[in-house]
Amino acid sequence: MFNQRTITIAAIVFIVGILLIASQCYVFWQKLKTAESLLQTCQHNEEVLDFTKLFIGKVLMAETDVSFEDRLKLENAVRDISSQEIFSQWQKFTESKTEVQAQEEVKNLLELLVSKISY
Amino acid sequence: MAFFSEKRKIFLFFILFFLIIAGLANSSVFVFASITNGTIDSTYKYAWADEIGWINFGASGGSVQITDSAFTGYAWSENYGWINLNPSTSGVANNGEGTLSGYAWGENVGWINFSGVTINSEGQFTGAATGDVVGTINFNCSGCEVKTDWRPVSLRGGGGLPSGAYSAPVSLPLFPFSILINNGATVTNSQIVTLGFNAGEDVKRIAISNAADFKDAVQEDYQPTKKWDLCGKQEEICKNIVFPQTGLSLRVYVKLYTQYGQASEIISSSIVLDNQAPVVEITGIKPSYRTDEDIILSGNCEPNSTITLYWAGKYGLSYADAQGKLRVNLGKLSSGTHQLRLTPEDAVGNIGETIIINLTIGTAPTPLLPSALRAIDRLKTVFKPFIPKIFQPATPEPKIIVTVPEKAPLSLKGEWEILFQKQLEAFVLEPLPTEIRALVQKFPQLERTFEKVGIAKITDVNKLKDVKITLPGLTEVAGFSEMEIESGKFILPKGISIARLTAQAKAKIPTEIVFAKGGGGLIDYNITLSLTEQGKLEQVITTIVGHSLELVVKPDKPVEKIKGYLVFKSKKIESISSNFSLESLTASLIFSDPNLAQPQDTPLEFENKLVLVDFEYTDPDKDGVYTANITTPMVDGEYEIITVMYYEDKTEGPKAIRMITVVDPEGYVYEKNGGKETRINGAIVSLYWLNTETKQYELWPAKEYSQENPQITDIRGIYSFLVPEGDYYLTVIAPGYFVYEGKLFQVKEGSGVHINIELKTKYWWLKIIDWKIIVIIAVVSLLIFNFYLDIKRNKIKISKGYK
Repeated sequence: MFNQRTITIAAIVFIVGILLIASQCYVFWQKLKTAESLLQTCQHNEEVLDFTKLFIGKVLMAETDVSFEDRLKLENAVRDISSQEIFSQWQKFTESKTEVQAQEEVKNLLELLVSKISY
Repeated sequence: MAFFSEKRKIFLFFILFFLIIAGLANSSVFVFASITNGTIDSTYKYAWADEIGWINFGASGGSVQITDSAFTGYAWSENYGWINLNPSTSGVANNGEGTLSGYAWGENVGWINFSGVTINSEGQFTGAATGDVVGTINFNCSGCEVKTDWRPVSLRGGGGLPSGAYSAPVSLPLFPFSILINNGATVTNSQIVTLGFNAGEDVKRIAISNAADFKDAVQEDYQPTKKWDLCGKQEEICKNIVFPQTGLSLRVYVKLYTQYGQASEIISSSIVLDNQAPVVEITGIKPSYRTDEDIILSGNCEPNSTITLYWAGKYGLSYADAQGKLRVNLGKLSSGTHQLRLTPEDAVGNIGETIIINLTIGTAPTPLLPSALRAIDRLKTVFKPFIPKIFQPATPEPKIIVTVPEKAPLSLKGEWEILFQKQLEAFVLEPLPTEIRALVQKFPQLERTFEKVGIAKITDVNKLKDVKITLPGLTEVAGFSEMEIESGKFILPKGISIARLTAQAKAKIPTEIVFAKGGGGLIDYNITLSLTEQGKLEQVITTIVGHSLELVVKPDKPVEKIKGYLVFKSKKIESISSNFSLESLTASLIFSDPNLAQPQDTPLEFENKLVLVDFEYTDPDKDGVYTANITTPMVDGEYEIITVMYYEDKTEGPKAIRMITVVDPEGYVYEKNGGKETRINGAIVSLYWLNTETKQYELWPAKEYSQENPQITDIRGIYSFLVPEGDYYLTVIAPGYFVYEGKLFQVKEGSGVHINIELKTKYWWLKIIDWKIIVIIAVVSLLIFNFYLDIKRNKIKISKGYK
């Protein structure tokens, strides 16, 4: 029904089409990867900022002891960051035995939090 | 003539007849409705008398009118006939504010007392009139309503009313009328909310209601925000209705009024009132748990609620999902009975009742699994990561919840000062940096500016980002800011060369500051201060390529020599973070680091910099003021002039003063060629300035400033002028081009004129014709000629054939 030339042309068109689509797919995949990476960075920054905001609002600005509700929020927020470094520093702060040690650990924690914000 | 006269009479008669008929058909006589002389609304005209039924105050032929002093005309009762509102012995009076008094009279109904009836700001009759026969005439009941277009005097203002008196309120241009409940929140747990209104300036009063018909609503003075009870005057809704767990949507309606009582359309907004406390229910719990297994509970609660758990002296948080499902993993517990308390709180803040559950933890050890089952368990663990998600259990085991101890640790008890209070105070109250204080001392104008702007502490330095400061020029700091004008002769505003300064003036020059002058020493350059990203002050001047620059510096101590270096910084001119301007000055200067002279370790390190020129400052007249003349680079870009002072006192190290010099390119004259620019050679660029004495524009006297005017462009088409302050304009003349006459511009401080100027050619059409066009035209012409020959040949053949 179809002669050899027609089939050859159709095959070439098909292959070229597939190649074009594949290249487009690759480009989109790359873009998707970049977007995902950006999104992850944004989410990470958001988590760090959420905790920082809580820490400043509930701990640094506190004049009485921090309520258990706020402590729970802080504990959950620090774990949400999924950074062992920040978590360890937070624990160092909460486990401080003296005022001077707490002051030192606060400085370290704040510095660490700021350094963990990517841009 | 007689005919036309007759015709006119007939015409006038018809007009008159038509008007009378129209008037009679309407209300027997003409009534001009207005807010000062009102009539009754054609729809809302019935009041209800409990003894005689409906009374029509807008009946045809009744001619009811409301003025500022009286309520006149006749009301109609279907059963009792006409009621005269203005009988000869009494009558219904209006006090101008809508409060009615006095009596109406009806043949069949007797006297009716109108005291107690008022007309409100919307023109609505309220209250009731009374009479022996009529009983009580209600003006505002279900189905009975009487309205007029008359308005109380106080709402209309005195004298003639402005055109806006009849207009509804106008919303702001970009924001239509709107109402925000709790600042746009969608849900609340309190029936008391805050309403925020967005309205134009002409809104003076407001009516708010929880009902669309504004039942029981009153007008009140407009305030942009107002506390409001969502259940106000409809308590039955809030008390009797069974609120769903997710709340009930309640709507608030608002009408806005101008001072003349004109109302806006009804605007409304809704919010969900959810004041129902959530209820937590545990459905999945084992009768007892082992000590080596996680305590996992499941249950239900209001969607997105938070459940606070307390057990074994610690607190934990868990959350219900969007479907209200709850799964909690408490981890392992020691044997015995443990009390677990769960307190739910929904997303709006309603706190539910705490439920208590007893958890029984048995001591029974984990029964040993048969070896085959153990092997299967191990395989499950190994292959778990490779099992596709769809084959994995739908609800994975929840993670062990995070807990905190009942008592806060020491660091969170609020007893310690965990911030360094003293250090913070020291930082906040730290005085200005040394270099800025030194600068302020040298320039009193700057001190005044800092006082005005409120820059006193180190933390205020950031404010400099928002202001632009230009330091005074050398001429001004030396005390020559006032121009000396000879009688009958006007002198251009210009600086004074160093050589002409008196010893007294030279003594006033601040030390350790580099000033820059141009135009043969007559133009003081404009120096701006900018704040770098590092918070350091930096002086910046802007000049033009290839111009002479005279640098002036006065050391604070005797010097052995002063060396200068012109160093390349970058081709790309960096945007300065901020500039700030002190005052408008006749001239300005290049200024380098004020005290800004910084101790410099010798030797100077230029390893990363390209030194273009090194030069030495000289002081031939031994007056302590050193000068140097340099030419700005021929390439535009950002440069730095570093002035190093070597003191005679060898114990004193050298000091360096740095100044950023932005070199702008020269202006050029060009014509556009497609998307490209072609420079024009031989164009005559003339600069004109406004002679403020003659009020005429004159050719700027460039020679006085060691420059040329007009300038003739070379093959690069370039030109530039360095000018003092004034008003200027440019003209460009070039053969083959239209004359260019630029717009007027103002120069505030000494700066360069280097605008790129486009000229339009007179012979633009010649540009279109090139050799390709000529070839195409030739080919087309030949083709046409060929066709012409063919036609001619055919005609000859045909004519020969006939013959």
